This record gives sequence, C-alpha cells and structure tokens, in this order.
Amino acid sequence: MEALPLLSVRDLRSYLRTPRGMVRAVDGVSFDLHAGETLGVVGETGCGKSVLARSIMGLLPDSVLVKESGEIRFGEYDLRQAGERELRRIRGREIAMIFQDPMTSLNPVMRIGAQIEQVLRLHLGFGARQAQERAVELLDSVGIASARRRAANYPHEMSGGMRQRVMIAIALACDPKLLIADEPTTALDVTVQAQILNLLQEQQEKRRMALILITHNLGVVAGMADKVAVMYAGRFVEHGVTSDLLTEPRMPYTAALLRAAPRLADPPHTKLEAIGGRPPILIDPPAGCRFASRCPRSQRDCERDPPETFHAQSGRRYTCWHPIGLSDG
Amino acid sequence: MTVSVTKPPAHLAPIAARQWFGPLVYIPAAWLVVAIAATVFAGLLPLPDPFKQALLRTLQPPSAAHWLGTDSLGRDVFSRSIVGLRVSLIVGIGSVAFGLALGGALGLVSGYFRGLIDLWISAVMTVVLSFPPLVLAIAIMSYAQPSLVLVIVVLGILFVPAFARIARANTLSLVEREFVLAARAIGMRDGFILLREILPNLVAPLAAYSMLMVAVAIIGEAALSFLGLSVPPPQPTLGGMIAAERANLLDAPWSVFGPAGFLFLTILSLNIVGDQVQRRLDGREAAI
Repeated sequence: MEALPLLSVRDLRSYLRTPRGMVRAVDGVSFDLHAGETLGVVGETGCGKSVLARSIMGLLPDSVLVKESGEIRFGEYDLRQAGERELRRIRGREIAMIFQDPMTSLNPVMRIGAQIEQVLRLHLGFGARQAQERAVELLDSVGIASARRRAANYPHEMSGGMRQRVMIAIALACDPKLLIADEPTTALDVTVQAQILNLLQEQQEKRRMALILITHNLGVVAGMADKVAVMYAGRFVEHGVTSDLLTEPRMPYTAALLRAAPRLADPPHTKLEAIGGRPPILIDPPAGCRFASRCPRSQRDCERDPPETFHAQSGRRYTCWHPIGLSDG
Repeated sequence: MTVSVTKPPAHLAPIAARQWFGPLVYIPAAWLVVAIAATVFAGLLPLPDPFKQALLRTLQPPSAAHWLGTDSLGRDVFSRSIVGLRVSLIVGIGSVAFGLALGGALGLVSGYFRGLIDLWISAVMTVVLSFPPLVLAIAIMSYAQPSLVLVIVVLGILFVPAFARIARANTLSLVEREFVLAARAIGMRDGFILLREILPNLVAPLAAYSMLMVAVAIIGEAALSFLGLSVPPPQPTLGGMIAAERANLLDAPWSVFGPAGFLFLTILSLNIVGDQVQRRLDGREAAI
C-alpha cells in the first residue's frame, strides 16, 4: 500500500491569452509525486513546461489566464481552490521555486543577504538579527565561501553559478516540501551545472524534499530523476520510471528525443538526428495525435483520433496508438 | 638607482577610475554647495541687511561695502540675491520633491497593476501634459493668493506627469524581470513587491532626472516672479529683482546682472552636475 502522494495533479489545463489567440499551453496533465521523489519534466522549448510549473504555484496572472481547470492537491491543500492569501502562505514556505536565469532572478539593487532574510522574516517570523544569522548559515550550506562577507554583496558582484546558489538558498530557507526547479542549469557553464545539480541532489536527500526538475537536457534527467515525464505540445506523452523510459521508450517522440541528444561515446562527426518539422501551434492544435505530422510511425488513425493514454506496469504511461517495442496493436 | 613608473594608457586604466567624474564637474558642484550653504546660513553671514533702504545711496556701483552695488532703493544687491536664491532653491527642490513623490507613486501603481488604473492615471497625465505649463502656472497663480507653498504645489503638479511616465516605463520593464516573479514565488504581497523590490530599482533613474528638473523648476519660479506671480514682496526673489531693476539696465547693470548671474550659475551647475550623475547612473545600470 503506497502512501498518499505529496502532490497530485489531475487533468490540469492552463489556457493563456496571447495576441494571436488562446494558447493551450498545458492541456490535460496528470501526475503524482511522493515526498522525497524527483520528477524530471523534459520537452522542447514552448511545450508548456514552465507554464506547468507556474500553474502549480498559482503564479499565472489573471490577465493572461483564460481558463485553468483540473485539480492540484498538495498535502492537505487544494491549490486550485485556495485563495490568493492561502497561496501566498504556501509559496516560498511549502513549495519553492528556482528559475532558469540567475542573472535576472535576483533583485539587482538589494544585497543578497537581505534577499534571503526577506523570506525568513516573511514566513517564519524571524527577527532582523536572527534572520541575518540564518541567512549566513544558508549561504554557507549551499557552498558559498566566506558567506558572512558574501551576504553583503550585490548580485552583480557574483558569478552566475554563485547567484544560482543564492537562489537555491532562498528556495531552501523555509524547508519546503517541494522544490520546483525550472531549467536551473540552462544558463550556466557545464562545470557549474554539475555543481548546481549535485547541490540540489544533496539538499534534497538531506531534507527529504520532493523535486520537480524541468529541463530539456536528458542527461540531467538521467542522473537525477526517479521518474521522467516527456512533455509535448502541452501534454505528458510518456511518463515512467527513469531507467525504463530512457532505455525502452514507447512513444516515438521520446525515442526521437533520445536520438537527438549527443552522446560522448559517439565517434567524432556523428550526425545528430534532428526531429523534422516543428511542434504544432497550440492555438489550434491538430485533432489527432499532436506528434503525428513529425512521427516516423504515424499512420492514418494518428492524424484522425487523439491517442488514448495506455497504462503499463510500474506506473508507465504513454499516449500513442503505435508504441515502439510492442507488437503493433 | 631610479625606478621609473609609467602610467598605463587610459584604455588600460581600471574601469572605476575611468568612469569617475572629470575635474570640471567639481567646479559647478562646489558652486552648488557654496550656494546652498550661503542661503541656509544667510542670517549668520556678515552681510548688509537685504531689506534696508538707503535712498541717498541708490544704484551705487560695486564696492567693498556692496559687492554687487545697490539697487534703485539703495538695498544691497548681493545680500538680496542670496536671499532670493534661497526662494529659488526652496521652490526648485520643493516642487521637484512634490512631483517626484506624487508622480513616482502614480507611475509605480499604473505600471505594476496595468489595466483600468493605468488607463485612468495615464489619461489624467496626458491631460496635464497637454496644457502649456507656464500658462497653466500663470493662470492658477493670478487667481490665487500667491505664496511660497502655492508656487511649490503649482510647479510640482506640472512635474507629476514627467515623473509618472519615467516611473511607469521603468516599472513596466522591471515587472517583466524574473526577480519579480521570484518574489511572488516566495509568497510576497503586491504591496511588498512594489515597495521592496521595484521601488529601489527606480531610485537611480528618478534621482538623475530630479536634478535636471530642479533647474527647470528654478527657471519656472524666476519666470513667475518676474511677472510678480511668485512669493510676494518684500521677500526678494531673483525674478522679481530683475523685473524691478530692468529699467536701470544701462545705468546700473549690476542691479540686474547680479541676480541674473546667480540664476545663471545655479542653473548651469545643476545641469552639468545632473548630466554627469545621470551618465554615471546609466553606466551603473548597464553594468547590472
């Protein structure tokens, strides 16, 4: 008997207003996440990964949100029904988030110490002195040398990797149960990426924190995630335990993504297999499978009927009429 | 044995050193400091009484007793100019502070919340901007009882739209920055985000602009007082002095050029220093 999931998302749909029309950025996403678990969400640019993250946090402004439906349960909270007041108490304290670009996600005119203290005072009611001490401890714990001196720095005095560490310190300040990392390493150098990922993993284990790791880097997912969800055109097209999914992809899109990723073992000048065509525009998505027009296995029914989601053993799910590796059904 | 040290060429000098103000900025800055100090401590300085008339010693040329001579009522032009400059500076700083506070707040709110509030505030600002500013000021001042506070408020209102636009434009771009989203993601309220996250980022652009606007306000006050619509006599004002003595321009040029010179030097200094401050703050923005 499995314990209740920490986060449970059911049929989440977030439709956004854009100048060209309504975009179905997230269009029916469901998943469960347990305490201490890591879910990697992969997909190409514009597939709705970031919108999904913001939807969970309730951060999409009403001015762009046309429609949001579905269910988001987090512990005892119902995030979709929660008022702004309640959400503010949860954000930063129960669910924290870090962003892609550490260059812009810190306030340029505020000392980084003060930016950490802010969260502590807001959620934990720390006094000025206490917050200051704790901020230094946090900076120290995310691996910033001479933390006390660094706390007085402004963001522009730090490197990208250090700023991302500061962002992580802010996110971890209130011991959240869930951390959503939206492409946390995309803007960083490769060597720094590894450090940041190690830091995240180490902190996650220490705190038994659940992690949603959004990325377009399959290597990152392979190293860190317990489960992977492949997102395409606003949907999870395949979802399962990381090792299964990466070694035996069912959905052709997953297979194509894997083939498109460079491998160190390849001989020089190996051509990567790009995925032809481009993802559908989500203002008016195709009726059938959204990957059909780019899919090597697509048949006539793919264009016509939206594929159902098939559930296989050990939580494996894929949305495809003609999955790879099974006798065509 | 001698060690010769050659200075590195300019392009290799540390950036901080290159960005520092040129020496010429210190002269106008010094003038501003001296002028402000002189007007604040005018009562303590060993100057002739600016109000004392000496009808037998009118229009005297500059001398050791009267550095800038005397006016048509025998009053000391130098001490009257200092007292007049005090009015100019109070009005200049006061009206800009008024415009900055009100305009900054309106711009911040309209840039952050957008929507209907933004529409209304922007509409009102456009209406205010569409009046010729000096004509509006003259119209209000001629109906109302002129006083120092009124001058400050009227000129201040004229500054509101400019500050509101700068604040709004900067807020619009700041709101899109990820740190505002990050602030919301840690559960901050809108009011908090406005005051703690966005407002500090507006200080630099608004401060630089403010200095230049003080110069404009001083010119505005001089124009009003030239027309007799500023602080009423017997309080000397620079514009009022020029207006009263302009008939003696040929016989006693010091009575006009004294106050005019104070005005000129102050405005020129404010513009030079303001320009430099703006340039420096711009550089800092770019570095961020």
